Amino acid sequence: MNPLFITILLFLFAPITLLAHLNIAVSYPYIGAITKAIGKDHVKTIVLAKGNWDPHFVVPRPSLISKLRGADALIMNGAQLEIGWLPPLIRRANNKKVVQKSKNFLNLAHYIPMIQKPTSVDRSQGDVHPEGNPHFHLDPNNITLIAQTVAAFLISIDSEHTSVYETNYNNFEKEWNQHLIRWEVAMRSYNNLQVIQYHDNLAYFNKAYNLKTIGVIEPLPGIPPSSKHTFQLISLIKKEKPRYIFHDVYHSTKTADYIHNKTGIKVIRMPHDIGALESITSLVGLFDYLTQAIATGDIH
Amino acid sequence: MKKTILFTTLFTSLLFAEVPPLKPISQRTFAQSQYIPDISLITDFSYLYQNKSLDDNQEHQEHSHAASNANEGFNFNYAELVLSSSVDPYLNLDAVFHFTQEGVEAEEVYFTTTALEYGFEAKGGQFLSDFGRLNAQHHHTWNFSDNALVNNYFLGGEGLSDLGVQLQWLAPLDNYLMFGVEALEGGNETKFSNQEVSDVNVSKATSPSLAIAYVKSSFDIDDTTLMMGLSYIYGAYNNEETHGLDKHAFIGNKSIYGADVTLKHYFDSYSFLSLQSEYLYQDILGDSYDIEPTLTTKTDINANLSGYYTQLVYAYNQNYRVGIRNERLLLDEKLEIETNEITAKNSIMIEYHPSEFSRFRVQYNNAKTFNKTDIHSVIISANIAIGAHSAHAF
Repeated sequence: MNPLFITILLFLFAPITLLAHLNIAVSYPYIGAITKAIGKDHVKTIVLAKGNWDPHFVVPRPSLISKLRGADALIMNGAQLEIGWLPPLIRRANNKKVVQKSKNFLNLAHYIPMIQKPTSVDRSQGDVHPEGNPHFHLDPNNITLIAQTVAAFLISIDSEHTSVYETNYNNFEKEWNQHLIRWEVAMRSYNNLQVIQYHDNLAYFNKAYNLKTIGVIEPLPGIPPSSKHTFQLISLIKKEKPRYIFHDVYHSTKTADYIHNKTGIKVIRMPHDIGALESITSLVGLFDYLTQAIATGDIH
Repeated sequence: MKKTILFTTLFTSLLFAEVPPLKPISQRTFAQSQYIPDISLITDFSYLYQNKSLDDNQEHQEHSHAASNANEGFNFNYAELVLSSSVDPYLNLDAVFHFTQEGVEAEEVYFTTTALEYGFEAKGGQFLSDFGRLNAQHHHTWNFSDNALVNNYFLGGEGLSDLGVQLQWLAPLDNYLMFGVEALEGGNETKFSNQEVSDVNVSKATSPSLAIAYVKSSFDIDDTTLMMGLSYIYGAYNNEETHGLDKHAFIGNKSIYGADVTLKHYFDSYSFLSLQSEYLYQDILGDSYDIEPTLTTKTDINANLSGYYTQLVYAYNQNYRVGIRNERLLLDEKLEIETNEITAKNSIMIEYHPSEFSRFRVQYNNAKTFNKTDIHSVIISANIAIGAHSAHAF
């Protein structure tokens, strides 16, 4: 046979292990940032969801299927945050490395202490998360725990670089602790502050800094605002006088603006992930923004 | 008397004695409830009003029988029971049963591989073919209450679902590119049939007698996604029909070529604009037989049929969406056509979702039959789901 022909054949069928990194698919941008911080040059992160989308309703476009097909591992948030969009993508990716039972699959929620676990679950109460509030990454203290989990995971699937991942984690932890101190100082004056949210996705952030959510604009999780509930909320606001509505970036602020007009309460956009607002490009940036938002009063 | 009182007291004390508490699952010895599959039940009801009464040409079931919204007045279209679970590290099993007043139908029961290499997936069992775009979509995901004219006519009211095997390959590219082939029995489907027709001495065609192949691709431009597909079916069509004293038979085959395109743009997490269109072309080749007691006449048939639908749907937010659909069906007069066969239709719908689990829709149809009669109809439908979250494909 023609040697050139054989060479071409060899190139076509040669395994693509010329690249030294692992392709890690992650569901949300914050996971990508943590994974990149621990893995550095040994990983390439593929983020499935955009930071400014509602994390519950990520559009399952076919390009995400291709991204999963090319992945060596998958790290997801868990606690049913991805249940509305990720399972069919995994199914159609035809990649045994990213299925639930693979050792290259990581569900972060299994390693984080969850809050707001419901005692009973029924959809008449709205779209309740049965395993607890899934937005655990918004407590910056949990970021250390998540980074630890990701480091252990990377070591388990790529033991060759154990020392690298361990070093990177230690460096990350040290740096992050500095930021934690800074944020703790910034939030100290807001101890016991009462706030309103659209949907309680800042539960863990509020718990970390002792802020209290006394009302939400959604009558029930996943249910759009109703006039009745909005009026009840306005009465509550007039009585308790919370000063801020912490509003996510993906729901319309129509109702929040209406409440602002009726009560004077300030509406502040609170990003939930990297990319939720164009200016937020890193994890530090995310918490810098969240901890300064009240002070700078970013009124939408 | 004393004995009775004694026994009653003893019996009552036993009844109300300390009942051992129900142990948590982890402590029960042979309990297996953790392995209960994901179960969901999706129900569909509708109310149909039509200005011309539905034709009672019930003998021509395969063309005029609609899978849903079949009767004027209230319709209980189906209660779809879906079970899904992993079997073992290598397979998943899915089953879809349609319960109606007429009974139960196993719409899909199939197993899929989960551990093949190189991007391959194999499926076996009874399943909806991935031909085209609309066929593989379950009714409760549709944006209109009724099937598209051309899909209904070419593939059947409930879509082409048959027994066989499927192999799909996802290319290792950044953009979605998938090739698939299917070999289906082609037996019980009324649109394709490999049955023997003894009246004209034709035995059962080799089965599986349906071969299907398709390629699908997709790419994104920012928040807009474009999906395209090309599909092909080749299948035996041996059919026998009796209308009163007339007996007809057809021995031959059908080829269907399909092209589909979907363009979807998301404005934010919930609102989108979606354009979906499919064009199908069918070739029917074979012999048509007129069977009478003393004489059987045979005619060579080479018929061409085609049709398309185009629909535009705008979702304003998570709760409201509107849509319009335009469709045509071009039949070939070499084959018998019902005069009241609908060959052109325009539809408009508005839909309200109180939550992800319930959909309410009002749809108006303006249809024209083959003999140019106008039919106006209104369908009001409710689609309600309980149980496991059914996350659907794009």
